[in-house]
Amino acid sequence: MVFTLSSNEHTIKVVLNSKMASNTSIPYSPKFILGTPINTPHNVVGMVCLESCIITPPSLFTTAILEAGTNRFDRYILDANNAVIGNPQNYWSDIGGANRFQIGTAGGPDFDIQTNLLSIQFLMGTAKNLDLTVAENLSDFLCTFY
Amino acid sequence: MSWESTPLNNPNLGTIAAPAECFNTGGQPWGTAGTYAEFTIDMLVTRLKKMSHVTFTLGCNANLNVGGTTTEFRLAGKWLKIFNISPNLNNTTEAGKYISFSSANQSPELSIQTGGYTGVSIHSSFAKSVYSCVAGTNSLTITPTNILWPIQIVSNPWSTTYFTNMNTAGKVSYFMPIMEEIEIYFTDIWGDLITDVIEFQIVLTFDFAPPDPLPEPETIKRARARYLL
Repeated sequence: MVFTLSSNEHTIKVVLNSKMASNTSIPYSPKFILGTPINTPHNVVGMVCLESCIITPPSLFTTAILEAGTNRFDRYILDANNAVIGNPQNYWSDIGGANRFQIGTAGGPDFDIQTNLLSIQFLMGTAKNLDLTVAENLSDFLCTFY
Repeated sequence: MSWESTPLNNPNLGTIAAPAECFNTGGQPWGTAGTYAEFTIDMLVTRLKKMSHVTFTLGCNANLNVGGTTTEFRLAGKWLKIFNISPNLNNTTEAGKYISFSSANQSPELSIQTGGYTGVSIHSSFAKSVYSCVAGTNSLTITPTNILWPIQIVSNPWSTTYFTNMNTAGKVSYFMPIMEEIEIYFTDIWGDLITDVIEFQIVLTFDFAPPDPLPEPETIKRARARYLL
């Protein structure tokens, strides 16, 4: 790989391996301190190009995703005018109370009981480390919601 | 999937419900006495094996609408990536920043991303000369980014993808006289920061070249003058 006709004279290759990072205080953003700094002479423009990469991508069912602070699965109860009644119920990480089997009856006082026995976060977590490209595994996961 | 009002021995309140059209041509609900047997897990597995990908919508059982109320479920956050929905929908209290479903309205079509990420972008700390669309709802603007290269992921999760560049296509210029440290991180196709630890080995090729010379002063004026002659 050359940038210009004369590039071979000063081309530098840098190999960055995630297992050899200099600083992993932010695990997903490793830092590499170069053993030999790369100097760009005056009056020239530095250029860099990706020559190759080997990546082992993670699944989407990981702790990092399932424990993200933005995750929500909220139940909102709206009145006839679509105004919110009470506080939203957190189905993502919480479960219903002792009366969660009682969803409520028409006109009854318990219409706002949180109903889930398991949190969505837990249910989604059952797919961690599963190879969901296998149909049986995928169906097993979907049936977890049953 | 729906929420049932009588879970009885079920470990959870959700159920999987397949459209009757999946298996029968009569359009009758599953479990119709004397006509169609109850929809079973085995039947679901059989059907799933025939699918290259699984899409579905979420709905809500009307039994959760009690006493003149309406139950609406609102979903937001990074986990929506699992369904191929942008994680930039991240606030259930702000209109347009979440997806929702109720007994009256199904959710948008969701597709479980069994194959994981389809592509990632490699970022580093030194490049600011590349311009990129801002992800999410503010995608009408273009701003400088430290993105270096987008990589297509052709493998399944936890399997290694290899990419090689046969030429200098995609080279990035930078303006830093001495480079001592390089920081690497990744974003996904939505521009969302990937906070999982990714194993990688990246080979970067550095070089430098004289910049393109600036045109001499008055060059354009001289050209125009010549044209007018």
